[in-house]
Amino acid sequence: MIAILQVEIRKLNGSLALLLAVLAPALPGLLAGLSLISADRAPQWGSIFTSFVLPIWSLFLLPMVVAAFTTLVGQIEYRARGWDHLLALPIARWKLFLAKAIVVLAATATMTLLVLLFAWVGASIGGAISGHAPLGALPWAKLARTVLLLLAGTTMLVVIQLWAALRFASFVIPLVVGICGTLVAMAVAMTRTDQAAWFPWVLPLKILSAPDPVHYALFGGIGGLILLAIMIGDLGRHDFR
Amino acid sequence: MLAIETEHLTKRYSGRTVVDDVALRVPMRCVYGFLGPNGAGKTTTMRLLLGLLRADAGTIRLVGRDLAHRRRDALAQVGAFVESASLYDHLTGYANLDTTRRLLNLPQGEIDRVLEIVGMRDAARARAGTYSLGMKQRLALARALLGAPKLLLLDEPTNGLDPDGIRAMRLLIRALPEQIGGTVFVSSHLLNEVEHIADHAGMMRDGRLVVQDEVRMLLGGSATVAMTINEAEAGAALLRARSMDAAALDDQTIRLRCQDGALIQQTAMANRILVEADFMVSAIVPHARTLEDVYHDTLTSATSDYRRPA
Repeated sequence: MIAILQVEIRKLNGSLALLLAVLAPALPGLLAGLSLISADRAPQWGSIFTSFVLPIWSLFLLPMVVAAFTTLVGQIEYRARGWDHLLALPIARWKLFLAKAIVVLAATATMTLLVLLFAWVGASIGGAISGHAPLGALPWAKLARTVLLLLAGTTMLVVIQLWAALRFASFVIPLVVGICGTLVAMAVAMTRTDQAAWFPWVLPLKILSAPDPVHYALFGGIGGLILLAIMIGDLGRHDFR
Repeated sequence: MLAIETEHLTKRYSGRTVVDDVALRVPMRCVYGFLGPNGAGKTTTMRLLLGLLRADAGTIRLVGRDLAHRRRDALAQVGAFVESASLYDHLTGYANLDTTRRLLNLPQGEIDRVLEIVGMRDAARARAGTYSLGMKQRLALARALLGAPKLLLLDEPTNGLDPDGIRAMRLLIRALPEQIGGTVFVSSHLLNEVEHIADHAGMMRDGRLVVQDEVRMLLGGSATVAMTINEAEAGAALLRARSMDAAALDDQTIRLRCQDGALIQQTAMANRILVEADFMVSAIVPHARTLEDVYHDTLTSATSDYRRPA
């Protein structure tokens, strides 16, 4: 399994997926920096992350980036006709799909951590330029808890996107899934409806805003793992052509 | 033990049978040419052999291992590329090989060994996306050779290659049984190519294996002679009246089909009959039977009578 994971990571080297994984998390940091440059007073570090950076990331950027990233991961195989090669090797199929899922989940976690890093850098630079450096200490404990819950809650979303990306040769399908899911989540956020609280794309928002986010995180995490098992079973029987 | 053995291999798509009751018998240590027109079922058969598709009926044994029950063990004996060289263009040639080497848990030196075989050592550090089609095909072949498989399945390996590339690939494939001590199963619609490299051949049409034998056996049986004559229709009719297999190809050419080993005797007799009947025979050109002849004869008659174990 370690060798398969190493190979999956190696395939990302020099790919567009890797470029996306590095560039996309920089956007919230850039926005945070620009916001601080034009700020007329110094904000708290806590509010920069919980009211600005993480909402932007979890509601809009994260689902879109996951859609694009999983699509690119799937297209690495489809464009190279890699399935023909991979699946004809004497390796259990489930290991190949599980390795891809682990890599994508790990990439999502890494991107989220990069978001925090870039936001810290961006806000620091913006604050230095405007003279309104963020106040207070970084809320490490709160951030760590929120990020952990966020990552658990997005597992289902990530698995759905990966499933669509690996199942279909066309890159359009996973992208449409991602765009539709994100639009629904934004509509839910704007209308403040509770009817779609358990929709996978809405879960990150709920984890940030609900009084008890653990339920949503557990639902997304456990649901994601169940879906992962179903996905592996389905792809294992699928005829890739 | 056979390199490939299938029984009643069948695959259907949407009610249409694309591989129909195929019984392949591919011996060890040979080059087997798998022939047929586009859409005959060659690639589907190869995908079935590699476990990329599930058969609706039938069994597959690769180097003595049942694919359905011992998939990994069976595939461990096999190296392959299907339809086109499937390479990651953003990685170097070396990295492409290294990904497979890691997955197969092979030593690092294995990469140099296969690069040497396909003559790609110098180009291996360049990105695969910059390779010519011929180089990609050779790199894909190198990757198929990783782990020294006993059976190589190559789908249209000369597809898209220029004449030099075709020749290089032909020489490479011809030498492989000796180098790997195993079998090379090559699908192609280029009959001339297969005739140059294959010891055995099988021909598919409409999903059925209509002929399978050693190439020398397929090419034996009969030979033809082209006779240039002043009145071909009348001359051919005369020969047929004397129980000879003759047909007018045009106004001035008769094709005379002779039994194996009787070429000279039957040609001389036909010439004598025609000359004694005052026809003017101006040229006699023997025509060695080719796989193309076998192919057309077999596929036009297309009965399973031709089928015999190789």
